[in-house]
Amino acid sequence: MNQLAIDIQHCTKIFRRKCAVHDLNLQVEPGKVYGLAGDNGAGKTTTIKMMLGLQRPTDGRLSIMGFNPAWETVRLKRMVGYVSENREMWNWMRIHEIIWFTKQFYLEWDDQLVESTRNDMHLDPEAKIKHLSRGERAKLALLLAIGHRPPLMILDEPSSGLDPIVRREILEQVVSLIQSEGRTVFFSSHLLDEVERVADDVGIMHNGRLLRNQSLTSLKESAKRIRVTWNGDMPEREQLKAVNWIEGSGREESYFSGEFQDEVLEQFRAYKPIDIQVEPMSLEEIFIETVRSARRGM
Amino acid sequence: MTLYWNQFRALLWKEYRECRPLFWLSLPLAFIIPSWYMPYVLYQDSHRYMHDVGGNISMLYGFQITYIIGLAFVLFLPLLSREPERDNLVCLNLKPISPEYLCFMQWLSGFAIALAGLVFSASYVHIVFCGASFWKLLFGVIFIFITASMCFFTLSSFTGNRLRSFGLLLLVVPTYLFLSSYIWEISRLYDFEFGRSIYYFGEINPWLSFGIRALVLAVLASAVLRIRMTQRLSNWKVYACVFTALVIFYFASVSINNSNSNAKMAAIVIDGKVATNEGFALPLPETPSDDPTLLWVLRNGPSSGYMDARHKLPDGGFKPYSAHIAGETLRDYQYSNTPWRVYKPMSELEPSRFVILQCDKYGSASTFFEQPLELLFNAHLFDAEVRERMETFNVWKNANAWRLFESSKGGLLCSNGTFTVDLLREYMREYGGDEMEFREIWQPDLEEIDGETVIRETPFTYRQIKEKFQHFFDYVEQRGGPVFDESIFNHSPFYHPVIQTQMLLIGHFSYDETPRFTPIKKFDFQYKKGDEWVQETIEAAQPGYFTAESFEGKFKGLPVHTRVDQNGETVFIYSEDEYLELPPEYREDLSNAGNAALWLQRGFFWNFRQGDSVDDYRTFSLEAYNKKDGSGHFNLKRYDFSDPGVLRVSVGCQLLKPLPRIMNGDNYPRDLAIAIDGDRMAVSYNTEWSEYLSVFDINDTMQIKEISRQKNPWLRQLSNWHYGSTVFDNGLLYAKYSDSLYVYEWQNDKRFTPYARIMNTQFYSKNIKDYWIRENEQGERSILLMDDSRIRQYGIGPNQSLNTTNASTVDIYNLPGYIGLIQYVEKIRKEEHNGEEGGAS
Repeated sequence: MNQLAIDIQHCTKIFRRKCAVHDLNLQVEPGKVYGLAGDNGAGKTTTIKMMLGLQRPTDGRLSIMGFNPAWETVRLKRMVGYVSENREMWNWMRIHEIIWFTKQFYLEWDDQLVESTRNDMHLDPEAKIKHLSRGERAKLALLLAIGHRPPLMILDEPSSGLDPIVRREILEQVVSLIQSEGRTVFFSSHLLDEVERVADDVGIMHNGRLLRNQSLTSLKESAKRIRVTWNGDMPEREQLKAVNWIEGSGREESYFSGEFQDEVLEQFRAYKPIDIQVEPMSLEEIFIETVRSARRGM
Repeated sequence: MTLYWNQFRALLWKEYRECRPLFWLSLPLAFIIPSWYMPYVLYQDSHRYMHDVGGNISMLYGFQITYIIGLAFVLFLPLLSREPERDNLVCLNLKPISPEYLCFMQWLSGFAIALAGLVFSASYVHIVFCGASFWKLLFGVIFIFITASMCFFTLSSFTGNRLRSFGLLLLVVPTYLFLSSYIWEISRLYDFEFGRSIYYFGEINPWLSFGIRALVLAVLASAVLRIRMTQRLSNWKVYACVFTALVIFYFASVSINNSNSNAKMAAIVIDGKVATNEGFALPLPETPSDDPTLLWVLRNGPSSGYMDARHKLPDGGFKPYSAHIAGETLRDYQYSNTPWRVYKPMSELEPSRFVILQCDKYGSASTFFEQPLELLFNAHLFDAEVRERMETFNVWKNANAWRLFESSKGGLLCSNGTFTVDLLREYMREYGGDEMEFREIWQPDLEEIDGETVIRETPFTYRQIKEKFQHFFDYVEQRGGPVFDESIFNHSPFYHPVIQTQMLLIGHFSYDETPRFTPIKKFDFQYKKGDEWVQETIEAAQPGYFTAESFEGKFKGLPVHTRVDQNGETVFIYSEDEYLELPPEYREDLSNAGNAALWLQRGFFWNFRQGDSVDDYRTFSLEAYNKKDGSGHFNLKRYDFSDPGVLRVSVGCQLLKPLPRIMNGDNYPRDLAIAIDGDRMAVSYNTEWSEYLSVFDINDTMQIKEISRQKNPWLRQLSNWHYGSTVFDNGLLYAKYSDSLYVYEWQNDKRFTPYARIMNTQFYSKNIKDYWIRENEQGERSILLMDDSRIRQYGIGPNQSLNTTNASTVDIYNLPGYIGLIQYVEKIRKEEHNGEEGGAS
């Protein structure tokens, strides 16, 4: 059995009174691309910082590439390429300078890969970081994260603040650079379309809790929208189980089912509606309805 | 290893690039500040100065905090320009580097940047000034910067803001130094009470001391950074163990150092001879009356002072006399400018000395500090009536002075029926005096008055004393000494003390084979009243005795005293009739001024404090005062004892050309250090902006001529020179400051040039208590310098250079018993003498 690239068990992080992450269980197999989706403040960045050893979990156990981040930070960081949400870099440096600077911290560094990728990204080596656009800055952060060919890439909101074109370029580069070599990618995002585009497995976090954690395929199979056209006789919404009202009033209403099964449909049919349609949902729609359901206490 | 080097190189490059603009800007500043200070370092570190491991460090560490801060500011300035520490940490935190290593690398690289400026500036000074001390200086300063930069980066890691950290550093370093000093003082008091030696923090090898401190800081810095970067101190047990081990090691090294001190001393070479532990013990007195029973030692620290009194024990050691005395005298002593003195056991007084004793109705604190002999004699001056009054009177604050002056030749000038130690000793040797009684006479009583502990004078009254010593008094009288007439004390109204009935008994003692007392028959007095010189001759009522009537009608309008009013102007206080015209606030101090006899005390002796110097037959007292136009003036008083029967006094010998405003002292100009060499007088004094060293021609009794005036090339701060601490010797001028002994060379009759500067190399301890220039029987001259804990000896070579190669150090705290400089000198002398005798046999 292959060792899990990421193995988080019952991990909790509490900042004073606020619980940022609650009883998180998350496993990622090697070679997978895992997308962690969540709204702002869901606990994504805290989770990543715990994975990198930058923050200590209040409770629980983490194993990243077989290392305990709390004790083996340096060895772990050598195995990980990390792009932070803010892409912290020294603004006064030039691109070639920061590449040189970063290189000094690693035992192995693939100059050829970095150079070719830089060319592909159209980054001018003489350009100062403070003069880079957001997109170029994001590309540079990614470039610096792959230079030592890490088996695990951790990307924290890699495309936030970028326009759709750049975002797509970034994602494509991530996919082509990392996944093609069988490396594991863990990234967080609140932009669901990019998660949907590249992720094998998906986690949805809200308010420190991991609401969904499954492969993208099974997630999409289990989450459905149900459109109902009533024939005058309709149930109270609270009477319906395992579904959540989405929209509509009167004759036509839409419901969300996170765990769609035939029994869900049967309770609708008991009221003899005029029409029932079961529709697939995009990841973004699933995410929104999952979070909304969580807020309603489902 | 390559990886670590690469990481350091990267961090160093980053630090430099971030602070590059200010780094180059700071370099010129780094030139300026060391240039300001380093001449001190270099001179004292040259071949004329004893090479001492860590000497520079301690000097820089303890001597000029402002200098260190200034230099640190300049050299750390570039580091302030880099990006905020918080962002830096966030960036660096993502790199695969341990927080501890990152902390070290970051500190090391920042330190290297800061040091670069120093290297440049030190090189510059090295080229300009001197060639011998560059590396030593550099390494000395490196230690300071290790401490400072460690603090800086620890704080930076903690606050996440370098500017704020630097501000904190500016507060922390002086506080640290102050507290260190304070703790050191406390520990010395602890030693005083319990006789333990735990105050040697600065005495362990300074490299070791700094090294351990730096390691402690490094551990702290790493721990702080780790907490900051990972929000935890995961391996806190390791940190705690390392930290504890370092602290234990430090204190262990202190203890071991102390316990080994005696062993170390065994190897100390003094004048080419190896001294043994036993050799340092003071010899026990052969007979009870042959040696004093007490040795008084005054000590003063950088921030406080206290007195140390010890009984001499039969085994040769000394036992603390009274801690309460220390506590009490501390307060008064702080307000006095009394120099450090190692009180001499009476037996150590050289037999042929010129001594002037001046006494007053009351003893005074300052007098008490200055000469134990005076205290001894004080006991004889109080009659019962006055003593009762004094019990409700704080004698410390209201007492007038006794004075004692001495030179290498001559006799005794005394007043109020006092006698010399030698006479007393001779008497006791002949008649077997009672040592215990003798001791009790001057043993002070502690008394609580108005919530304040004061030292009350002896409980013995004059009558009691007289009863005890009547035999001795008769003995003194038979030898031409003063006659003790108790009637002179019996009518003293307290609130107008002294002195209507007081008489002065002034005479001249000489010590040949038999003591001889020659009473003075008259004063020849010359003083300046306004612009006119007035001559007065005062005949004694009987030889040696001057009563109030003797002075009746004399000295009217003579400036008795000067003081500075609220506007900083010097006000002259006049004698006699003019006194009544003075504003009331000035009368208080002049309650005694209406009496000519008192005037003699105040105007004649008291003003010796302004700066005095004595040669074979003359005593000089220099007063400084400022006129309303801001100009400074000197007034020299001259006392000529060349004729034993006549005392020639000249007051009002003034400087023709005014000086800049004189700023010595905080009230009126004082603490002038003068030295007389023939008709040449050297004076060190402060003006508002500079310190000057002037030489005057004093051949003319009516006026002083300035020969040269120069800024003191060494001192850049206002200082109080200690009176009586400046001497000419063999063509060199020695001037003692609190932490240094300065030696100047008089060149071509034109100016003084810095010759050598000997600084105390103790950590936090600045005081040089005493120095002594001696010549051994081979004619070799050397300086013995005593600081808080050591006596150091520097040879003076034939070419007048300080011989540092055979310089030796004796650790007095580790001597069996507390030894003073004079005893030490005597001890060496005896050893030499015994050695020669042994060799001859």
